[in-house]
Amino acid sequence: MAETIISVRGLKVYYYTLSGVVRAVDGVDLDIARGEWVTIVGESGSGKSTLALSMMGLVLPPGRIVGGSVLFDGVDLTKLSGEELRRLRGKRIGVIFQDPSAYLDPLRTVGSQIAEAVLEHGVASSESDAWRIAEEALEIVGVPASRARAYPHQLSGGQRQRVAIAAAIALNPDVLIADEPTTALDVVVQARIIELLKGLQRRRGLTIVMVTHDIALAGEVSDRIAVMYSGRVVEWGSAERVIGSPLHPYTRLLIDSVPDLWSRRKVRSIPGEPPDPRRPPSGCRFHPRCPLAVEECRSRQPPRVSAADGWAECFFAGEAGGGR
Amino acid sequence: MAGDLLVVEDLRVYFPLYRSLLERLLGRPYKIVRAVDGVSFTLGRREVLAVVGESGSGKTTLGKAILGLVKPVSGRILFDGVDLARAKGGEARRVRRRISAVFQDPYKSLDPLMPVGEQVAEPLLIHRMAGRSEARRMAMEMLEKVGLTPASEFYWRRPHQLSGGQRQRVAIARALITQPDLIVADEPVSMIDVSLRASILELLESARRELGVSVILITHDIATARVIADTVAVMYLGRIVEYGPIDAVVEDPRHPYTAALVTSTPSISRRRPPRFPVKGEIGDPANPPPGCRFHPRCPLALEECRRVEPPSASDSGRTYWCLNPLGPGGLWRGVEA
Ligand SMILES: Nc1ncnc2c1ncn2[C@@H]1O[C@H](COP(=O)(O)OP(=O)(O)OP(=O)(O)O)[C@@H](O)[C@H]1O
Ligand SMILES: Nc1ncnc2c1ncn2[C@@H]1O[C@H](COP(=O)(O)OP(=O)(O)OP(=O)(O)O)[C@@H](O)[C@H]1O
Ligand SMILES: [Mg+2]
Ligand SMILES: [Mg+2]
Repeated sequence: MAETIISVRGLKVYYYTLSGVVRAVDGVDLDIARGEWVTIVGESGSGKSTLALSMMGLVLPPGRIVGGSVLFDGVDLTKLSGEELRRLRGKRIGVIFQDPSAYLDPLRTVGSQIAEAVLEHGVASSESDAWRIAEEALEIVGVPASRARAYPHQLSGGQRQRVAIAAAIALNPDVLIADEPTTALDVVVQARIIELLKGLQRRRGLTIVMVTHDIALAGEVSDRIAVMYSGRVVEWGSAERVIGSPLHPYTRLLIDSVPDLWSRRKVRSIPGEPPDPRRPPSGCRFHPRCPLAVEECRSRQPPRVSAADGWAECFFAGEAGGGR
Repeated sequence: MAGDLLVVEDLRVYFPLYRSLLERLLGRPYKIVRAVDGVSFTLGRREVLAVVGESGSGKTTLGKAILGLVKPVSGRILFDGVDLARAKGGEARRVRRRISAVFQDPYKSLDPLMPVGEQVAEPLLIHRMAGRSEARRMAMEMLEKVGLTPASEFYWRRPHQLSGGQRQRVAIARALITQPDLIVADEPVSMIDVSLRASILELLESARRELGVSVILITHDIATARVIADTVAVMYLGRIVEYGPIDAVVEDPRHPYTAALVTSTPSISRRRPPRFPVKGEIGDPANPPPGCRFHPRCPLALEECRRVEPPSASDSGRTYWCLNPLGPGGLWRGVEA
């Protein structure tokens, strides 16, 4: 495997709210290799966004990193000042979100917004240089350079997301964090945005960390998948293996619960409800919904059982049929 | 057909487009959005019809027209032989209560202060189908049926004391309590946790099986549609572009937009057709292109597609509106980008 670019160790990110402490990320270890596409999947509230954003040192109040570290190219982000983090973000780590309108200024043309970021981070030395880079970035993502003078509202949702990607890649970052980048888009447009990102990964060696609740999408595009449940990564491994022969019962049940257009298997919901992250269940957090659960699952945190390409946190993961 | 529950004929729903003050001062003409622009289909008893298509293609508007929530500019909706636009007074009320709705956001469609059981019972009182105690008994039964047990406990809970999936069950119980013949469900699982969606679909399926209701399932996710639908209507910019048995339409579509839709849907299945390439972004319903509305994005478009509105054509049970359709099995052979 290639060199590690992001290394998450024992990471805990908690939100201190009036109704209690939300353990959004509660002891996560992950190593992400340069140039790979990692996707974090899981149900709503499992901590996917919190984990992904903490990989760029971004933790929103009332959240705090209460333990562990995030090494980006050897530098511990949890130890950097706000200013140092800001410089690193943008320049070396780009980010796109589900709703690009949230960070595109409605009153300025998309080209000038990209050009400004390019200047600010010192990627270009003159305004005309910056504008040229902005136009190039737009062309790369399939927005004609002539649209650089358009305002965000003059673009379609898919085009706005392309502009957001252009803004991120104009700075030529090593890593792109993409939090549900296509959730608001139609599948036909989604397919083209994903193809675009895939091309950037291949051609530029861009590392991509994507968050989605769509496990089929994760299976299609990723090199490796992290499955989150209630603040923990419960399974980690190659996309092919995680989807094809999951080790964790949660992963298996999650796959079985979503309809797949091309296989006529019956879908079944996972029994019970996702846990309240303020009061996660004892032991294995999935035990109240798990058909395999035994007494031990209630009382002890399951060990991390290794597979050739990753691991799963389950007492049964090592046995044949653990994921059945 | 005489046995059909619902017949929709050449339905059109237009909305005026918002004009800025400047545009009004300059006397710019009103523009209209042709949200639904000539839609026809029939729905049988116990049939589940999925309406799929791009955002803005008119799915919700079609559902609202059937529910009587928006007024069509032309066309007819016949429910069990009764023209919904013409029915008056008692007849209108009797017909209306045989059609129920389930919406995407159960939080918005429920009263936050009222116990959910009372909200399930409410339609019975509104339509004077039962007295108070009878309504309560029936609501308990319905809560039981949709899996909110023990019903006597759930009955008194408020919406905020339920999870998203449980709230959607309440909304479905409320829709079913009047024993409707038709349920219009608009994106009923989009806001539900992925791991719980199947159970909501199963609930609609059992309503069809056990209570004999017909369902119009509006969804942007054709994989979800395939779980419970018999037939599918694929919409594009206000029109149905392909209609037929869902298995046939998915596996062997004729219309290029259907091909793009099914091959762009993420899947982990090994057996799947190659991606059907389309250009451009999603269409603008205020400015639909002339001729076939899909032609600017279509890799198979012919010269005449720019001018001629495609007539309908039929092929082994499915109907499509396209001048240069895919042939049988064409989906699996693929198209050069
Ligand atoms: N700013 C915040 N303040 C308080 N709690 C928060 C905040 N952000 C997230 N949380 C809580 O932390 C937990 C994890 O949230 P997070 O957004 O990381 O989950 P997610 O897996 O991305 O969910 P979704 O799929 O809904 O986006 C949730 O319980 C959420 O309510
Ligand atoms: N009340 C309204 N006034 C003006 N325009 C409207 C109104 N309701 C819908 N429209 C427009 O009509 C078109 C069809 O909208 P509709 O909500 O029916 O689409 P949809 O297929 O349900 O889309 P989505 O998948 O995004 O829910 C859109 O262009 C929409 O903006
Ligand atoms: Mg999130
Ligand atoms: Mg809609």
